[in-house]
Amino acid sequence: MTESLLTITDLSIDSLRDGTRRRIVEGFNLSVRAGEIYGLVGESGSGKSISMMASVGLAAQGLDVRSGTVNFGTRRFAASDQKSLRGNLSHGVSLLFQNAKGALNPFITVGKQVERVLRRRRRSDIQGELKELFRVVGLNYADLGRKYPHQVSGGQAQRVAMACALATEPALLIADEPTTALDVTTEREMLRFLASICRQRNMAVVLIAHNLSLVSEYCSSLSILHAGQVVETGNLAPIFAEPLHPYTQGLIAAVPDVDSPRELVPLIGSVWGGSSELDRCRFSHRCPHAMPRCERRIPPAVKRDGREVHCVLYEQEVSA
Amino acid sequence: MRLPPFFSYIMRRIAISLVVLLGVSAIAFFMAYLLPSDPVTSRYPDITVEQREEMRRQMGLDQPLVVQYARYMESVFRGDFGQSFGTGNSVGEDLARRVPATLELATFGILFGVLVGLPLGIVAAVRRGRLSDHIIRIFNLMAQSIPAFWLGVVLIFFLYFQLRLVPSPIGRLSMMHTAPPGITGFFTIDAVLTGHWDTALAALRQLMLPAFVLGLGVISPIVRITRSAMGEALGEDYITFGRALGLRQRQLVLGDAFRGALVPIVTTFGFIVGNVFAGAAVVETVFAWPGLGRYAVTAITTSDMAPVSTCILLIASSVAIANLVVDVSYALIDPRIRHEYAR
Repeated sequence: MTESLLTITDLSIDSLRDGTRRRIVEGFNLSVRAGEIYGLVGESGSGKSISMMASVGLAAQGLDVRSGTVNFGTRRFAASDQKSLRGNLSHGVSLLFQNAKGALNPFITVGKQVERVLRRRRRSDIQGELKELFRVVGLNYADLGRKYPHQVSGGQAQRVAMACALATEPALLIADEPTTALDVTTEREMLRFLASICRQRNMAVVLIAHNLSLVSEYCSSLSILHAGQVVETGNLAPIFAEPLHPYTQGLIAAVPDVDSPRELVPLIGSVWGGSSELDRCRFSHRCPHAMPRCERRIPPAVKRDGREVHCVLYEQEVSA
Repeated sequence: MRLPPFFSYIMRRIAISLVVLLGVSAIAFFMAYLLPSDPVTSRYPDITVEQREEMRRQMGLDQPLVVQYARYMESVFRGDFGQSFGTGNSVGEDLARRVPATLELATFGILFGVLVGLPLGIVAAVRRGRLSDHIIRIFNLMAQSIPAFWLGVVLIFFLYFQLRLVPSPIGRLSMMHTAPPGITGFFTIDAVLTGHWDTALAALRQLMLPAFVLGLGVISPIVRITRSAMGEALGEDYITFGRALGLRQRQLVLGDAFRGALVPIVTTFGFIVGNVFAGAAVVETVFAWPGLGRYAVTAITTSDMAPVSTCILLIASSVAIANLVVDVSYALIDPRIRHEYAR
C-alpha cells in the first residue's frame, strides 16, 4: 500500500448551539493516499463536510473539535488545535465548495481572484501563470478574466474556483459536492475534468457526495458516513460487489441501474432519528436487522476483504 | 461602453432628488403660510387696517397661494431667500456665515463618530460573543443613552469651569483670535492653509468638545450596523473559501468582508447625516456655536418665517445630497448593482 497523504484518526466533533452540546461526529477515521480519488458518501447532515472542514482547520463557529489527530505527509497535528491546522495546511490542501458562485468574492473580477491566490506563492511571471491556470481549467482568460462572478455561469464559476484552488498547488483537494449545484451534463464534464487534473498533477481528491453511483465512477476507495459515524470504509470494488453494512446495502439498493432495471428500495427514516442515547449504532432506528445490542454501544470495527465495517452483524469475526 | 449606463443611473438619481426637494420646498413654504402669525402684523404692529392691506398688496400676500409659491420658488432660484427681521439681514447673508460653522462641526463630529465606530463594530463582529464584544456593547449603550444637551453641559462644567482644560464655550473662536481668511469656511482648515497655526489650534480646541458630543451620537448606529453587517459578511462562503486558499485573515476581514458589509453601512450613513443636522441644533445651542441649528431654533421661537423655511430647505437638501451620494456609492461598491442598472 502506498503511503498515506492525509490520515484522520478518531475525530470527534460536538456542536454547541443554543447552549446544548450535541455529539455530531464520532470517531471519524479516514486515510487518503497521494494521487487517489477518495469518496466520502452520506446523506445530508451526516457530517461529511463538517468532518473534512474540521480536519483542515476550518471548523465553523459553534463547533467544538473534541478529539482526533490529523497526519498530513510527515507532520502530525491535534485536530482540536484548529489554528495550527489552518496555518500549516493552507499550503497543502485546497477546497471546492458546492456553491461555487458563493465561494467567489462578488466584488472582485474572477481574474483578480485567481491572481491574488497566485501571488501568495509566486513572484515572477504571474500573468503568464494566470493565463495558464485559466487554460488548465478550460476557460479563456481573455474572455472571462475581467468578469465578475455574477456574470459567469455556475459551471464557469466552479472552474474559476478550481483555478483558485490549483493556484495554491495543493497535494490534496477536498471537493465538497462540487457538482451538486450544476446540471447533469455539466456535472459529468466537471468530474471527468477533476479526475484528469488529479492524474496530471498527482493530486489527491476527497470527493464529498451524497450520490453513491457518481462516486463509484471516479473513486478507488470510499467511506460511508451515517449520522456522524463511519459505517463502512475501504476499497470501492469489494464494497460494491458485496456491501456488508445494512446502510450500504440500502444505499446501493436505492441507486437506479439502467442496464438491469429492478425495483428501487427507498431508505426510510431520517439520519438523526431513534433514541437520544448516542453510544449506540446510530443507524439502528432505520436498520432492518436491528437487535437490542445495537442500542447498547458503538458497534466495533470489523475488517473483511479490503474494507472495514462497523456493525454487530459481523462481530463474531473479531473474536474468531 | 461602461460609462454611459452608469452615468444615466446617476442622472436618474439626481432627477429623483430634485423631485424630493421640490416637494420639500412646497412643505417648507406652506408650513410658513399656515402658521397663524401674519408677517405684516408681526413686523408693523401699530398700523391701520388700510395700511396693512396696502402692505399686503405690496408684498404680494393678496395673490393666490399658488402664485405666491411660484414667486417664492422663483426668488429661491435667484438665490434670494427673503429677509430675517430677527437679524435684519437677508437670509442668504446670514446663512453664508452660519452654514460653514455647522458644516465644520458636523464634518468633525461625523469623522470622529465614524473613526471610532467602524473599528469598534469590526472588532465586535470578529470577536462576537467574547469579552471585547460585550464591552463594546455596553459602551455603545451608554453612548446611545446619554442625551447630548446633558453631556454637553456636564463636560463644560467639568472640563471648562472646574479643570480649565478646554476654552470657554463661546463659539468657533475665543476673543483673542480673529477668524482666518475665508477659503473653505472651515476655520481649522483655512487657518492651516494660510499658515495661522495658533488660530488653527485655537479653532480646533473650540471645536473639540461640541464635535465630540455630536459625534458620540453617530458612534452607536455605526457600531450596530457594522457589527451585524460584518458578522453576516464573515459568515459568507467566500470568506471560508478565502481562508481555505490561505489568504491572510487581515485581508479577508478588512478587505473582503468589509467590502461586503459596506452597502448597509453606507445606507446607515445616509440616515446619520440627517440626524446630525437635527442634533446640531442642540449642540450648537449648548456651545453657543453660531451655526445653522441655533439660527433655525432662534427663528422658530420668534416666528421669523423666511429663515425657518430656508433652513428646512437647506437641511432637506443636505439629506437629499447625502442620499444621492449613498445611491451612487452603492454602484461603486457593488458591481452587481452597477450592472443591474446598466441594462
